[in-house]
Amino acid sequence: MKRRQFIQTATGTGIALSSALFPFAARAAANYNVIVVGGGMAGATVAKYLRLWSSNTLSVALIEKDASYTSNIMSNEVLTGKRASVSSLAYSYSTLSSKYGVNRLQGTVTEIDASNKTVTYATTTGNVVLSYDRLVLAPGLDFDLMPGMSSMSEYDSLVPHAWKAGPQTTLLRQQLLAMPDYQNVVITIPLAPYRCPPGPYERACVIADWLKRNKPNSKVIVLDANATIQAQAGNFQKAFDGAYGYRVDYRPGCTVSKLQLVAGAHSVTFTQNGVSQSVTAAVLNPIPPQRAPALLVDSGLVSGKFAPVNLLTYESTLQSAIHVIGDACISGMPKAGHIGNQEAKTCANAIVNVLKGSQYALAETAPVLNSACYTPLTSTKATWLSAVYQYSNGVMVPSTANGVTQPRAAAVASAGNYSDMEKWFKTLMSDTFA
Amino acid sequence: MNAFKKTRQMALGCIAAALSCSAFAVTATPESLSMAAGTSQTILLSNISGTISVYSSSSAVAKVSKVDDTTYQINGVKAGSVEIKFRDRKSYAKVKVKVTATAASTASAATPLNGRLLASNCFQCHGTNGTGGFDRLAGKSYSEIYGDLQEFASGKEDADGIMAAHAMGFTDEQLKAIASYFSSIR
Repeated sequence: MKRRQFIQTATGTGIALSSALFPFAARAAANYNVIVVGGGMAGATVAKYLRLWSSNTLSVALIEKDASYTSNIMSNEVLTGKRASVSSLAYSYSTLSSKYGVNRLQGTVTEIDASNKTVTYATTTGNVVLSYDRLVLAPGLDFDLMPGMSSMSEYDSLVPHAWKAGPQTTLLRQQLLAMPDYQNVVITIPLAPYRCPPGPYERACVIADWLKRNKPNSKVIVLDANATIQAQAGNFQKAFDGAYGYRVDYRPGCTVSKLQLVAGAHSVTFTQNGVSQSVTAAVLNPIPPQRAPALLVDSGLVSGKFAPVNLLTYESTLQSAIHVIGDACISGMPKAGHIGNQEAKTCANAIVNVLKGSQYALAETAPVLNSACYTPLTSTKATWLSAVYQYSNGVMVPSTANGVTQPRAAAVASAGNYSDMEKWFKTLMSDTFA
Repeated sequence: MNAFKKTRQMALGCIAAALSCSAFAVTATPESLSMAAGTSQTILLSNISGTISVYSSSSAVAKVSKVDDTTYQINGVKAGSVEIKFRDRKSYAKVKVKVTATAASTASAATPLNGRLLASNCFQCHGTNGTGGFDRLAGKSYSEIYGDLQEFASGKEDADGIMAAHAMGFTDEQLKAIASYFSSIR
């Protein structure tokens, strides 16, 4: 079985040919294979920087099931029509191939064999098995069903979470447009850690800002499982309280016990301060609890809900030669695209160092990870959040350099920040995909 | 598959070890290397039996640190020669390391820290390798970049701005390494 797969691989793809048929020659020339699984912010970045920082000497394959990536960042602006459609947030993998020589492979990874160092992925024409020297997993997240739901397909057809930008984002936009006035839009937030800490609050703000102009008698209700706002608390609270001409009904410490799904008239039952109550929702946007994908669980890479890693290298602490970056790993830092990009660079730097040797030391790096993100609070004003993390004794801790507390946020939402946000987004995506 | 893999490893071991072609002896790649003080290189081990103990004939010349079970990092400390042994349950592999003095450099060009990885924190907003988005950083002088970063880190310039927020999170040594990296890009 295994042998047959190997032969099939050898005849099927060029990358496997050299390592399967001529392993000695390939190794003597130090032609190491790195396979990256997942083409989001972290996966695309690591593929690019593995090639760039190895001076194109590492063979890098990027396996991703989708033809292109749709950015989660800025996708809340599709909900309000500020951005025309999710297709405006699509990023192709063609530059990674043409400019950096990343071998782009389309398919779904079905099995990781850590002891034989192989990955199996399914394509439209059958299974392919590839050997690796190092494997980097950047798989994103799986979403849980909310209480009372019966099927994941309900997120696609009835109550979009839209926490992975795509068709659900479009559906949520359509539901907001179709909703009559005098209704509730209900957003539920899961317990941290979840992807993009400020994201749910940003969504509440931009929808409320849009309702103000389009359905002025409707409101946004936020049911937050957390006891407090998880990022930029001061800026969001100010917005919720009316600083920008809209209000958000924000309710912390809410445990959702049941969603009752009725198109256009859902109800959410939840407990707050020990009291069970319900709200109705013409549009319901449940942001579900999140976890590392099943593939990682099946591969013995997960402890609890996410994958523990060595934060110098992002190598799994449970399986050698497998690295996990982005939202699926346990980094102690926010799960966010900008951070995934920098985790990817830290990982790429370590892998290049390990496989190729380098003037750049590994142990001495004591990685610093710097995050910036901008958040629109209205259609014209934005704030920002910045955090610098320093490596210390195996963990990433908010920096205390210069006696300054991290993270730090913009003092006020402004039009200047809004235009900086667009430049940040454009440059970040370019650093990741181009 | 398993037999295939084993053959491959044995043959690899022979290439790497060159001298003794025992299929079961631990092997280290490369067997010898030359490096400047203040830099580091990586040694990969294969065919390990049991756990590895590391012996260095002079840790004053080069220090060894473990990255993972099969990967060790050699850090050059000062000029000299040193022999490093990786011993497992059955055998040992030797690596000869020659450390040369740090290349003559101007004060501004010395890069004691990993400037590249540190500086890559700036790429998301200033472009890959600092080639632009917000201000272009590539090729600016060390003193200009370090001077700006110092002003931000000390709060002298735009203390409530996002650049101050970033710069304040880095140590002075790290800011110097970042400035050094960007000034070296042509």
